[in-house]
Amino acid sequence: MEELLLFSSIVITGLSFLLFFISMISYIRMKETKLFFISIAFLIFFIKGFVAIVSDLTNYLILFDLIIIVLLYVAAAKK
Amino acid sequence: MKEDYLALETRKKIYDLIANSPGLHKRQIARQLNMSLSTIDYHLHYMEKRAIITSKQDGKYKRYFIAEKVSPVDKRILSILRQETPRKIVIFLIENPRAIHKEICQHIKKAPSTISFHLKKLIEAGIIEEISLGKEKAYIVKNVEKVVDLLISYKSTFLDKAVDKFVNAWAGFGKR
Repeated sequence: MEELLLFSSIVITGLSFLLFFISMISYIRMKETKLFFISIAFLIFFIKGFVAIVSDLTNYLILFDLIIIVLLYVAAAKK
Repeated sequence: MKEDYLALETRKKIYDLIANSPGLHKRQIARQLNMSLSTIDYHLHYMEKRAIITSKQDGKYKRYFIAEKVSPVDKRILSILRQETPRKIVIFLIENPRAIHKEICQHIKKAPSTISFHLKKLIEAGIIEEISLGKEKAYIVKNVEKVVDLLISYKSTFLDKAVDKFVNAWAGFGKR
């Protein structure tokens, strides 16, 4: 079971890095603030995955979720 | 305006061939693209005059190369035109100047919020402008010749497609 969780964390971290990369390129090209917040949300997602793999700070992972949800809210609310 | 786009396609073919095989001469280009010498001559002259390509005399042959001189403003325009949806909008507006939002949506087949997002970006970049047409707002390409020249030199990559899909997916995010 632990191997499956580790494998899932690695896949999630890899995909979030890929999405961060694409969203940052999108922001650089389109200069749209909304895309900037979305790309930072993916960056935090990547950091969260990385922290989950290498450390035991699982109790603090909810803080990353909080930052991600705030960033996505700001992106959605942005005119 | 339709002629502009037809010429653009031909010029793009010539440009891409020179980019892939630098140093070709006129006859080789004509042979490889199966076009008449006079057509090739006309388009080479057009692109050389606008510094899109350069040439170098090599004995009896004049060989053609890509001119790598892109200004920062042109780079900004190119970075937007590399994306499929804005490029389609611009080409549609070259062919149909003064098109309204609804017509653009019908032709491009994307959500109205996605089209609005790209139109806003194209206006900010100075590529198109919004004009009033009675109650409606219509759009025109500001400098057709310059945009057509830039469209000749864009290169679509895998990353461009990924960015295009990403931007389209998130463009309407949060819009009601």
